[in-house]
Amino acid sequence: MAEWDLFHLETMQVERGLTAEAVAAGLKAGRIGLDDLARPAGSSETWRRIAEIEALKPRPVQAGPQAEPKRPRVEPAGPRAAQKDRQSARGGEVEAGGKEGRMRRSEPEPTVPIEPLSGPLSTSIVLDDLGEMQRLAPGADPSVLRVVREDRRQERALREAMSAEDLGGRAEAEAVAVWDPLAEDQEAAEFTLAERGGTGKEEDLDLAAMVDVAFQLIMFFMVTASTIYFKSLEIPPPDPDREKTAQQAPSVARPLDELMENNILVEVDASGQIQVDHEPIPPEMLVAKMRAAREASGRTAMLLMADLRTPHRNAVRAYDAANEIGLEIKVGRPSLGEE
Amino acid sequence: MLLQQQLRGLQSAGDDHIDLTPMVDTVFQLLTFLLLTYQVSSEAAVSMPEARHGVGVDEREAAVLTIAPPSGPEGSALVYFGLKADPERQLLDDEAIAEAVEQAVVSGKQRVVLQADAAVPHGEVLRVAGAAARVEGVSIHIGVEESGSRRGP
Repeated sequence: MAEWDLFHLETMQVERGLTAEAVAAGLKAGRIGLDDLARPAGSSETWRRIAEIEALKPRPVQAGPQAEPKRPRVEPAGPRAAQKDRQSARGGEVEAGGKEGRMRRSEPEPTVPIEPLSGPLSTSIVLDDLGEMQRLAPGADPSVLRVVREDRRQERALREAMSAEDLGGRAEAEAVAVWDPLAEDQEAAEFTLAERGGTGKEEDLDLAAMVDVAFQLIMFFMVTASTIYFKSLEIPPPDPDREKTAQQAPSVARPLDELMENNILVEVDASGQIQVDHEPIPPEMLVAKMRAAREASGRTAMLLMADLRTPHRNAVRAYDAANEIGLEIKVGRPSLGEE
Repeated sequence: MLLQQQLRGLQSAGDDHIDLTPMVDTVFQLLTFLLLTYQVSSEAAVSMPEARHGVGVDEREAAVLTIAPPSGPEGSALVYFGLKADPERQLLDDEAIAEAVEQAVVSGKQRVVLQADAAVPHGEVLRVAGAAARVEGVSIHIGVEESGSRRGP
């Protein structure tokens, strides 16, 4: 009895060693379509459509009710399996299609006798009607695989139903069902890359641990860095005994002209008027004037002679100007004779 | 090919979530920058004069004397030990000032910060500074505010 190799277009799988009766039964059951390709088993002839093979094409017999044969869809095993299992609760119902051979209605399929492969291993390995090899113990009854076949048939039915729903509608499902042989090679390469991206996308990196560690670091630095700083200007500590000494020995007090030889003299009166080297200037010119005096004479220190009644802010202005230029600060106390 | 197209459709349908990793990285960058640049400054009880070239003094190394304006035109400035104008911690004379500074030096604080109000007479500031300078080994600092950070009138 002649055997045939069958190539399913939709599942992209090859079934080998089918008899004509098995093909006819498959056609009747809807597992095999007229567009599927076949060739004599073991040969290298060109694949031809079943509809074009005289020995395989169905007889012109009135079919029964308008039940469209179903084409099982196969999903590759892998990460998508879990998602498909989740959707398995929807059942195996499929929306009926308007075009022939595209959308199938789920129906219970009749069992198909198993056709063992020819060869020394035919007693242990058989090819079931779904095109998958099943290992069978020597001498075992092939009918034990019937349960497996039923399960797999239902699984395929469910996958077909789920894939049809996932595609979002009949029109999109029909578009996907079209097979473009010209783009097969290119799409195969793209599919490889897409599959890698798909499997990589499943590997989400859990950032919760990193966020916890980062917050620990933040709290540590906030606790250790919470130090209060006082913004201040350093001045030389006044001599506590200088006033007493000046009262006891007025000659200790030095004239301003003598002090101006080594220091830039800055005088501030009670009203806040500023003089640099006896020259009155506006407060905003203090820094420029002091810088010019330093460059002209090479003096590197500022001697502040401020009236004791002048507000503290005026003295701070002089301190700040000296710090800006980089002058040493010296604070003088006007003698009693000059007040 | 049917399988490939189906998988691509399913993959593209699931890409509707936003990756927050770059946002988290940017937030951490900002936090790190602010932690390194932020310096906490104290709030004094008096309104100090402004200055642009002041330096920071660690409060763990400094004893603070608060100098408030005198109550009358001829009175002496009010001196308190600490950041607040607490009457219980008022220093009435130069000896009390020197004693308070000496106790601070014993506890390891070698710096004395005079947080004087801007309206305090210059002579009063020199008086308090002279009293604090009686203790050997101290450095005198005039407390100021950052230029442009003054609040109110």
